[in-house]
Amino acid sequence: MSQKTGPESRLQLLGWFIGSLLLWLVSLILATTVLARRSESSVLRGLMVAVGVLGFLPLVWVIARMILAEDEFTRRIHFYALGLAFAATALFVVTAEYLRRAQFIDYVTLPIVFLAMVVAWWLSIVFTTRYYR
Amino acid sequence: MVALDRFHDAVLPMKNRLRVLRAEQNWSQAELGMRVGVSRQAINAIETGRYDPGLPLAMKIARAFERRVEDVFELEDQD
Repeated sequence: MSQKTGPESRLQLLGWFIGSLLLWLVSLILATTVLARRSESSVLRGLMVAVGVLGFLPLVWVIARMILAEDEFTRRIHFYALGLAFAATALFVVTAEYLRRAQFIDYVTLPIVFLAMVVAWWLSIVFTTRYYR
Repeated sequence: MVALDRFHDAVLPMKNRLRVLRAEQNWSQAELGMRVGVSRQAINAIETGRYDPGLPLAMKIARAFERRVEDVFELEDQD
Protein backbone atom coordinates (compact mmCIF):
# COMPACT_ATOMS: atom_id res chain seq x y z
CA MET A 1 0.00 0.00 0.00
CA SER A 2 1.52 3.37 -0.90
CA GLN A 3 1.65 5.84 1.92
CA LYS A 4 1.18 9.53 1.42
CA THR A 5 2.67 11.15 4.48
CA GLY A 6 3.97 14.38 2.93
CA PRO A 7 3.00 17.75 4.38
CA GLU A 8 0.30 18.30 1.77
CA SER A 9 -1.56 15.09 2.55
CA ARG A 10 -1.25 15.66 6.29
CA LEU A 11 -2.78 19.09 5.86
CA GLN A 12 -5.55 17.58 3.79
CA LEU A 13 -6.22 14.94 6.44
CA LEU A 14 -6.24 17.61 9.15
CA GLY A 15 -8.77 19.58 7.14
CA TRP A 16 -10.93 16.50 6.71
CA PHE A 17 -10.66 15.78 10.42
CA ILE A 18 -11.76 19.28 11.42
CA GLY A 19 -14.57 19.22 8.87
CA SER A 20 -15.84 15.81 9.92
CA LEU A 21 -15.59 16.77 13.59
CA LEU A 22 -17.70 19.87 12.95
CA LEU A 23 -20.17 17.81 10.93
CA TRP A 24 -20.47 15.35 13.79
CA LEU A 25 -21.03 18.09 16.35
CA VAL A 26 -23.69 19.77 14.20
CA SER A 27 -25.49 16.48 13.54
CA LEU A 28 -25.25 15.56 17.22
CA ILE A 29 -26.74 18.84 18.37
CA LEU A 30 -29.45 18.79 15.70
CA ALA A 31 -30.48 15.17 16.29
CA THR A 32 -30.47 15.32 20.09
CA THR A 33 -32.31 18.64 20.13
CA VAL A 34 -35.08 17.45 17.80
CA LEU A 35 -35.36 14.03 19.50
CA ALA A 36 -35.60 15.66 22.93
CA ARG A 37 -38.89 17.22 21.81
CA ARG A 38 -40.36 13.69 21.49
CA SER A 39 -42.19 14.29 18.25
CA GLU A 40 -45.20 12.16 17.38
CA SER A 41 -43.84 11.74 13.86
CA SER A 42 -41.91 8.51 13.50
CA VAL A 43 -40.64 9.78 10.15
CA LEU A 44 -39.05 12.78 11.83
CA ARG A 45 -37.57 10.63 14.60
CA GLY A 46 -36.24 8.16 12.02
CA LEU A 47 -34.76 11.02 10.04
CA MET A 48 -32.96 12.31 13.12
CA VAL A 49 -31.54 8.84 13.76
CA ALA A 50 -30.18 8.90 10.22
CA VAL A 51 -28.79 12.42 10.73
CA GLY A 52 -27.07 11.40 13.96
CA VAL A 53 -25.54 8.21 12.58
CA LEU A 54 -24.60 9.50 9.14
CA GLY A 55 -23.11 12.62 10.69
CA PHE A 56 -20.76 10.41 12.72
CA LEU A 57 -19.59 8.15 9.91
CA PRO A 58 -17.26 10.64 8.13
CA LEU A 59 -15.36 11.19 11.40
CA VAL A 60 -14.82 7.45 11.77
CA TRP A 61 -13.60 7.24 8.18
CA VAL A 62 -11.21 10.18 8.54
CA ILE A 63 -9.69 8.82 11.76
CA ALA A 64 -9.14 5.47 10.04
CA ARG A 65 -7.48 7.26 7.09
CA MET A 66 -5.26 9.25 9.44
CA ILE A 67 -4.04 6.08 11.13
CA LEU A 68 -3.48 4.28 7.82
CA ALA A 69 -1.52 7.27 6.49
CA GLU A 70 1.09 6.89 9.24
CA ASP A 71 4.27 4.85 8.94
CA GLU A 72 4.22 1.18 9.96
CA PHE A 73 5.66 1.91 13.40
CA THR A 74 2.92 4.40 14.29
CA ARG A 75 0.29 2.07 12.83
CA ARG A 76 1.64 -0.66 15.14
CA ILE A 77 1.20 1.64 18.14
CA HIS A 78 -2.40 2.31 17.12
CA PHE A 79 -2.96 -1.41 16.58
CA TYR A 80 -1.87 -2.24 20.13
CA ALA A 81 -3.70 0.78 21.55
CA LEU A 82 -6.98 -0.22 19.87
CA GLY A 83 -6.61 -3.73 21.22
CA LEU A 84 -6.01 -2.47 24.74
CA ALA A 85 -8.89 -0.01 24.45
CA PHE A 86 -11.23 -2.76 23.27
CA ALA A 87 -10.29 -4.94 26.25
CA ALA A 88 -10.61 -2.05 28.70
CA THR A 89 -14.01 -1.06 27.34
CA ALA A 90 -15.21 -4.66 27.51
CA LEU A 91 -14.05 -4.82 31.11
CA PHE A 92 -15.89 -1.59 31.86
CA VAL A 93 -19.13 -2.91 30.34
CA VAL A 94 -18.90 -6.24 32.15
CA THR A 95 -18.12 -4.54 35.47
CA ALA A 96 -20.97 -2.07 35.06
CA GLU A 97 -23.41 -4.85 34.26
CA TYR A 98 -22.47 -6.87 37.35
CA LEU A 99 -22.64 -3.77 39.52
CA ARG A 100 -26.11 -3.11 38.13
CA ARG A 101 -27.26 -6.67 38.77
CA ALA A 102 -25.86 -6.40 42.30
CA GLN A 103 -28.02 -3.26 42.59
CA PHE A 104 -25.08 -1.03 43.39
CA ILE A 105 -25.64 1.21 40.40
CA ASP A 106 -28.36 1.99 37.88
CA TYR A 107 -28.11 1.38 34.13
CA VAL A 108 -25.04 2.97 32.58
CA THR A 109 -26.15 5.04 29.61
CA LEU A 110 -24.60 4.53 26.19
CA PRO A 111 -23.00 8.00 26.12
CA ILE A 112 -21.12 7.05 29.30
CA VAL A 113 -19.94 3.82 27.66
CA PHE A 114 -18.88 5.82 24.60
CA LEU A 115 -16.97 8.26 26.79
CA ALA A 116 -15.30 5.37 28.63
CA MET A 117 -14.28 3.91 25.26
CA VAL A 118 -12.74 7.19 24.11
CA VAL A 119 -10.86 7.66 27.40
CA ALA A 120 -9.63 4.05 27.28
CA TRP A 121 -8.44 4.57 23.72
CA TRP A 122 -6.59 7.78 24.59
CA LEU A 123 -4.93 6.19 27.65
CA SER A 124 -3.96 3.16 25.58
CA ILE A 125 -2.25 5.38 23.02
CA VAL A 126 -0.37 7.18 25.80
CA PHE A 127 0.81 3.93 27.45
CA THR A 128 1.71 2.23 24.19
CA THR A 129 3.63 5.27 22.94
CA ARG A 130 5.60 5.41 26.22
CA TYR A 131 6.40 1.71 25.96
CA TYR A 132 7.96 2.18 22.54
CA ARG A 133 9.77 5.40 23.41
CA MET B 1 4.15 -3.95 29.21
CA VAL B 2 6.27 -6.90 30.32
CA ALA B 3 3.83 -9.16 28.50
CA LEU B 4 4.66 -7.39 25.23
CA ASP B 5 8.40 -7.90 25.85
CA ARG B 6 7.92 -11.62 26.37
CA PHE B 7 5.73 -11.79 23.30
CA HIS B 8 8.45 -10.16 21.24
CA ASP B 9 11.12 -12.50 22.58
CA ALA B 10 9.00 -15.53 21.83
CA VAL B 11 7.76 -14.56 18.38
CA LEU B 12 10.26 -12.04 16.99
CA PRO B 13 13.76 -12.92 18.28
CA MET B 14 15.65 -10.48 16.07
CA LYS B 15 18.75 -8.39 16.45
CA ASN B 16 20.10 -5.67 14.22
CA ARG B 17 23.22 -3.64 13.48
CA LEU B 18 21.47 -0.33 12.97
CA ARG B 19 23.41 1.55 15.62
CA VAL B 20 26.76 0.40 14.29
CA LEU B 21 25.89 1.10 10.66
CA ARG B 22 24.44 4.47 11.57
CA ALA B 23 27.63 5.40 13.42
CA GLU B 24 29.71 4.43 10.38
CA GLN B 25 27.68 6.86 8.29
CA ASN B 26 27.59 9.46 11.03
CA TRP B 27 23.82 9.62 10.78
CA SER B 28 21.53 10.55 13.62
CA GLN B 29 18.41 8.50 14.31
CA ALA B 30 16.35 11.35 12.91
CA GLU B 31 18.40 11.47 9.75
CA LEU B 32 18.09 7.75 9.14
CA GLY B 33 14.37 8.02 9.85
CA MET B 34 14.05 10.77 7.28
CA ARG B 35 15.94 8.71 4.70
CA VAL B 36 13.62 5.73 5.08
CA GLY B 37 10.38 7.60 5.77
CA VAL B 38 9.78 6.90 9.44
CA SER B 39 10.09 8.87 12.66
CA ARG B 40 13.11 9.07 14.94
CA GLN B 41 11.07 7.16 17.53
CA ALA B 42 10.66 4.29 15.06
CA ILE B 43 14.41 4.06 14.51
CA ASN B 44 15.03 4.18 18.25
CA ALA B 45 12.46 1.44 18.85
CA ILE B 46 14.14 -0.76 16.22
CA GLU B 47 17.61 -0.19 17.66
CA THR B 48 16.51 -0.96 21.21
CA GLY B 49 14.78 -4.14 20.07
CA ARG B 50 11.31 -3.01 21.04
CA TYR B 51 10.08 -3.07 17.46
CA ASP B 52 10.95 -5.25 14.47
CA PRO B 53 10.21 -3.57 11.14
CA GLY B 54 8.13 -5.08 8.40
CA LEU B 55 9.78 -6.27 5.22
CA PRO B 56 9.34 -3.06 3.17
CA LEU B 57 10.87 -0.91 5.90
CA ALA B 58 13.66 -3.42 6.55
CA MET B 59 14.54 -3.33 2.85
CA LYS B 60 14.47 0.47 2.80
CA ILE B 61 16.83 0.54 5.77
CA ALA B 62 19.15 -1.97 4.14
CA ARG B 63 19.11 0.02 0.91
CA ALA B 64 19.92 3.22 2.82
CA PHE B 65 23.06 1.53 4.16
CA GLU B 66 23.74 -0.12 0.78
CA ARG B 67 23.71 -3.50 2.48
CA ARG B 68 21.66 -6.66 2.19
CA VAL B 69 18.74 -7.07 4.59
CA GLU B 70 20.45 -10.03 6.27
CA ASP B 71 23.53 -7.89 6.86
CA VAL B 72 21.41 -5.47 8.86
CA PHE B 73 18.91 -7.80 10.57
CA GLU B 74 19.31 -11.35 11.76
CA LEU B 75 17.55 -13.87 13.92
CA GLU B 76 18.90 -14.36 17.38
CA ASP B 77 20.29 -17.79 18.10
CA GLN B 78 17.85 -19.67 20.30
CA ASP B 79 18.64 -22.70 22.45
